[in-house]
Amino acid sequence: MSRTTQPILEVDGLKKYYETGGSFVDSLLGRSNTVKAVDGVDLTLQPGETLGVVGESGCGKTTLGRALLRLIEPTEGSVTSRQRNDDGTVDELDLTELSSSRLRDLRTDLQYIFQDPFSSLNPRMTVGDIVGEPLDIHNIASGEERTQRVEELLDTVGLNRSHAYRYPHEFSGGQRQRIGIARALAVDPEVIICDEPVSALDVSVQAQILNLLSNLQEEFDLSYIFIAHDLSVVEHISDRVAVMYLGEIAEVGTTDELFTAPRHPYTEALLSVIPEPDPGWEGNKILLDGEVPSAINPPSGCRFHTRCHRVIPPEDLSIEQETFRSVLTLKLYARQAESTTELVTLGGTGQLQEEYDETDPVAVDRVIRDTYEIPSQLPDTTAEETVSTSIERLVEAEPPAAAEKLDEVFVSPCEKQRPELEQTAETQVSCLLYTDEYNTGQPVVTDQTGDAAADD
Amino acid sequence: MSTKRGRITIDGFDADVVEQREELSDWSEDKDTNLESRWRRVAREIRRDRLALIGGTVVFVMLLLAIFSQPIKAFGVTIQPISITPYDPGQQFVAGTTENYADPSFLPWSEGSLLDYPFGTDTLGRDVFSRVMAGTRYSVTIGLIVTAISGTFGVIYGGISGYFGGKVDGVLMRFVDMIFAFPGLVLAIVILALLGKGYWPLVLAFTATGWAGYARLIRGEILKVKQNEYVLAAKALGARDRRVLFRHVVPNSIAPVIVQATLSIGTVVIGVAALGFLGLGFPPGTPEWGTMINAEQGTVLSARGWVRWWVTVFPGLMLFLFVMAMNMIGDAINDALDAQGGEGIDAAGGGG
Repeated sequence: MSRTTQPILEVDGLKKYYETGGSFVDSLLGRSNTVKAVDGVDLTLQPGETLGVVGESGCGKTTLGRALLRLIEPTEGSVTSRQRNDDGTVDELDLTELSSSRLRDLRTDLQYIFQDPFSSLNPRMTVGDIVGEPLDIHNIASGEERTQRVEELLDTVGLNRSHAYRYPHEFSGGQRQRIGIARALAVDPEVIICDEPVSALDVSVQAQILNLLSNLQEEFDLSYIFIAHDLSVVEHISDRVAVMYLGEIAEVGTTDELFTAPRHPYTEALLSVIPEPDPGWEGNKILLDGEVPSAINPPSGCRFHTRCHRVIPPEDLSIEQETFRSVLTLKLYARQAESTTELVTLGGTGQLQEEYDETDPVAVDRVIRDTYEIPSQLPDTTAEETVSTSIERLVEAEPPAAAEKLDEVFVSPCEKQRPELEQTAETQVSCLLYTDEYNTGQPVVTDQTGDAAADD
Repeated sequence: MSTKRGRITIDGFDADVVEQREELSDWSEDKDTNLESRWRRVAREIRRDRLALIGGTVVFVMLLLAIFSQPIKAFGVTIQPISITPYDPGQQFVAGTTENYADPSFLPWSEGSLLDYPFGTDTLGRDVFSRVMAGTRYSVTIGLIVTAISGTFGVIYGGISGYFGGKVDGVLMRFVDMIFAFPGLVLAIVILALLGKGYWPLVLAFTATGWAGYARLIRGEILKVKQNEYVLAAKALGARDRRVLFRHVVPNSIAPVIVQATLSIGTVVIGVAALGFLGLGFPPGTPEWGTMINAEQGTVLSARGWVRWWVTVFPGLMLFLFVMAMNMIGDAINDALDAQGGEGIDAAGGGG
């Protein structure tokens, strides 16, 4: 993949915020919240390449894909599309600023394949009409020519020509997805955004559709943005991969680089849990604590710091990174917990705690330290003092008061500083660990080697 | 045990093997026996329904009557010369003289055979049989025209409201609420009072109140349908809103409106008859069923009026017959559209 050519699609600072509680009265009373579904995403797509976008459910992958094509209006940012004309000149168009009629014309270059093949085809139209609709809309073909083109398209995606006269409900999921692909191909696009095109399909059919997509890419010189949550699918089809977390890009790199040596702790955690067919493999799975935080009030600083296993301890504390992680988790849970019991349950390691007296500082201290795996004596005096005081506060007051106390000392730079997407030796990473200030000089070493090449 | 990955590799993407192993589905051309569109399937369901068949026949005969009962003239040119009514519906004293009719004991059949005046004659000696036949032209057509106009307008209005949503929806639906705030018949009476009696004022009066129901009905349905990904897909293809709305959204939300429309044809006919009975619909003397009953209510209420029972019974029976037939058809359509619930994957339809 040549990196020197100009990207065909360039996304810069794309944001999509939603207002919750959208009624007029709500906004008047200031009760509405902003959901930051996509929050400042930068991406580039080179001609002819496949860019995989992965992330957990709810991290904004689909919103990103739709905002890219302005199927939903992005809040901020720009999407630049570069079209090469026949005479070699290049047109640069900012999608976010186009008028709706210009945008309609541009839909012939940018297409979308939907996740659910059962709801993305109009049940009242024949397959021929579904595939032929783009031809009508853009006046590409009519009459005999249209019929011919529709049949060609059906051929291209591996369906029978006679299927043009049938209705979508007569087809299986895989066949429906082929119809969806034929519809996207009808306008002869340059870029196709595939929004989890195989996640609704059986595994055997997934492979067929993936192969079809790669064949079409070769045949028509397409560029794909491939949104998925299945890492093995992404690894199979992508040239480059972008990892998303809570509306932001955590890491971007070529598939090889990213899968062999992930830089971002989140990528690392994701890759570590890919199932391995080897019964003798015990792995070193990195299991992340807790759930994905809500996009309504995303965590400050680095969004991943609430779950990051490599969170950076403040410089003035001389405690282990692991211990710091434990105390930080305690602090984050204490912020939302309403009682000590809830705090113990939230941070539970799965083991039942024996009965303890909630009014006895010593007992609570022991239980909390047990639950959060904090050593009974921290090496750093300030740290130890703060932890014990805050646990005392648990007995006297509510957990948020304890969190406040912990906030005085246990503050990670990750909480305060928002990392930018920066170029490292291999991938682009958005993590403070790779900035000059905190760079330990050591790349995150894992034993993922050999995995990336496995499926090729 | 090891932490090294990739000691065993599985090539999970060899689709050739899968493709050779099995077909994409078990479908083949031979199995394709029963391919039909939704409307053809609905039509078949209705044909199977005996009641609907009876209803359909009644309505069909009445429509024929509406066309052929009297000659049709447009701009002074006769375009339909056939007249199957035995008498002109306005012709008075067909079976006797003014004096005969002043006598309460006079029966029309004394002047001729039963077949000459099968439904008898009214107070002014007009042939009731001819009049109820000619009446189809008023009652039946007004029901159809009002429903067609208010249905079309309601679908467009509600479609725009539901599809665009937000502020547009808010404003448009408040106006619908306003229409609903008036009792329908009262609003119709007000309009008739403003415009005077007649066919087209009646159409307007019933359309003005009728469309709001369709608008509200389809709006609700559209709010649901527009969430489907094929709507977004059409937008992604560059379709204009008009196309998305009328090619994708409305066809998928029209079913309840069609049921509602068939059922409400009868309601409109009843409404027109009610206004006619109140003396508000058509000018007196018009052979519209409600107006006929109104004209004869004095006869029936007078002493020995019951002797001439036929003057009100036959127009009433025609009303009953038509509305009943329409409701039977409406029920059948409702069943037929309902029956295909899961997007029409029936036993013969394949899918899978």
